[in-house]
Amino acid sequence: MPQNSDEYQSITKELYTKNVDLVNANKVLELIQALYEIMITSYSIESISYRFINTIADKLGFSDGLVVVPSSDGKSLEISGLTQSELNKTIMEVAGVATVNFRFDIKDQQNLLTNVYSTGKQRNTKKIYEVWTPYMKYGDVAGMDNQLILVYPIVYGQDILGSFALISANRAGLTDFEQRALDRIVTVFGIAMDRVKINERLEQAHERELAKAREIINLKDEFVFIATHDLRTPVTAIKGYSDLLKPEMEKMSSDIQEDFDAIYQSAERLDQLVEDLLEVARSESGTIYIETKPILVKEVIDRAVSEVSTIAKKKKVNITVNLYDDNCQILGDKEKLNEIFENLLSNAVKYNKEGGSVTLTSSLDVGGNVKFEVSDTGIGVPENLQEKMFSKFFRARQPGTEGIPGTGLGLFVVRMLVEKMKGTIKFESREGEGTKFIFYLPVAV
Amino acid sequence: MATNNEVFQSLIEAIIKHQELIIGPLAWSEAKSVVGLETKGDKVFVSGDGKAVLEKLVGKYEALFGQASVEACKDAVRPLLSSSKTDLPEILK
Repeated sequence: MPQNSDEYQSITKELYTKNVDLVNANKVLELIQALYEIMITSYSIESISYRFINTIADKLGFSDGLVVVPSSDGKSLEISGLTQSELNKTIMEVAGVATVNFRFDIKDQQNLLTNVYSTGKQRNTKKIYEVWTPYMKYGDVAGMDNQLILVYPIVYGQDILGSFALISANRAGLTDFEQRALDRIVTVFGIAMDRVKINERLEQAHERELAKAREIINLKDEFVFIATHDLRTPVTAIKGYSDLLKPEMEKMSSDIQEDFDAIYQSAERLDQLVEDLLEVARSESGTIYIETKPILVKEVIDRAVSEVSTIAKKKKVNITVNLYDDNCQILGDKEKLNEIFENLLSNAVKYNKEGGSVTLTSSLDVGGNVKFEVSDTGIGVPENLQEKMFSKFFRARQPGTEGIPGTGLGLFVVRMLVEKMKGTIKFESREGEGTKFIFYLPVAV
Repeated sequence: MATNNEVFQSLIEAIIKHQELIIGPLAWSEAKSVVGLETKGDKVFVSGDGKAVLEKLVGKYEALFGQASVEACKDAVRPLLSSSKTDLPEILK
């Protein structure tokens, strides 16, 4: 317990001093918090510089401040942030130069900003012209000397990212609190600048990659379009003349017939590939045209079944069709619908076992769409390959698929056409047991 | 343009508010006891010689809390002084 009033006085003063320390510590924390908020909401060097220097000057009671950073060629320092003060306005008028045109030559060590940037060492002065030289000489602005001018480097790790100056009249030096605050500010400033530079570099890299990717996509699309158009003519010629020769080939020996069959099938495969590529190219360039008319589904299915009947017969695969209504109509494009069924039925036969079966059914779902299912008893697709089923040029290479012809574009085209007709498609598959494709198309009301 | 007393009013207000951060409501109750100084809410009104009133206020705090409180007063007025050429009492110079 204090024994007398002197002791009380002493305790009171001690407590007061501790409270001052607490208040100053709080102020430093508040300032750092304000700077942190600026750091996470600023995305350019100019924004960080301007907001930082104005906040620091305001909170610490400095009348003026500026920030400089290296120019893109690294030969000079340019102003990235400035307080909107009378002194700075006066200096601009005296120098006759707009803010954006100030360049401080890095080799000019008479200027404190460049000196501090080059050496990484903090400097003080009372002479304002030492911050603005060569744009100002001593005495250019009357009564503007004898200020407290502090110049700090902006440092991050081993790198010096710039420098900044704080200017104040009417004070001789810094209090402990201000000194501690500035020591922390210098660190935060460096972190903030570095963060923005990394963001800027990432954005530039991202822009470059995007531009590259766009260029590649455009080149690819152009290539596919031109190549398929240029391929069409010779392929059409090969198929056309092969069709003409077919009846004559039947009179030839079996060896010659076998060779001719190989040519004919290759021509057919090439023709299909060109058609698929053209379809893909048209879809991706937005030039594909899809009709939207009522289509009698049975008619289209009968045609598709007939088109795959030859290969089905060869493999002894039985195709069964069960429609909920023979007069069912959907809204869509007849030719594209035929392509969908032909692709799905063709796959169901090609990937089926000898003597297997294919079933095509239809039903009306609660959403008012027609649900189609094409299922087979074929080799199925391994689970690890199923996510790629609808990808371009994907072909599941597994035992049992050797020698099966295909372009790898069939299912990609099927999905594209179903979606263009406002439908959806999915599939279920078990390796060794078979696959079922299910798709929905809007019913024609 | 602010009158001389209005300038001192601003300085006194800044000092009291700064002292309030350190010693709480005691800052205002001590200020009220300074002759020539009237407080209403968080506003102050100076009558008579503003410079003298300011000096008395700082002296009051110094008497209670010592030199540390004088430094705190200087910190409080510094931002306001940079834009004016006020004739400060010796204790704040």
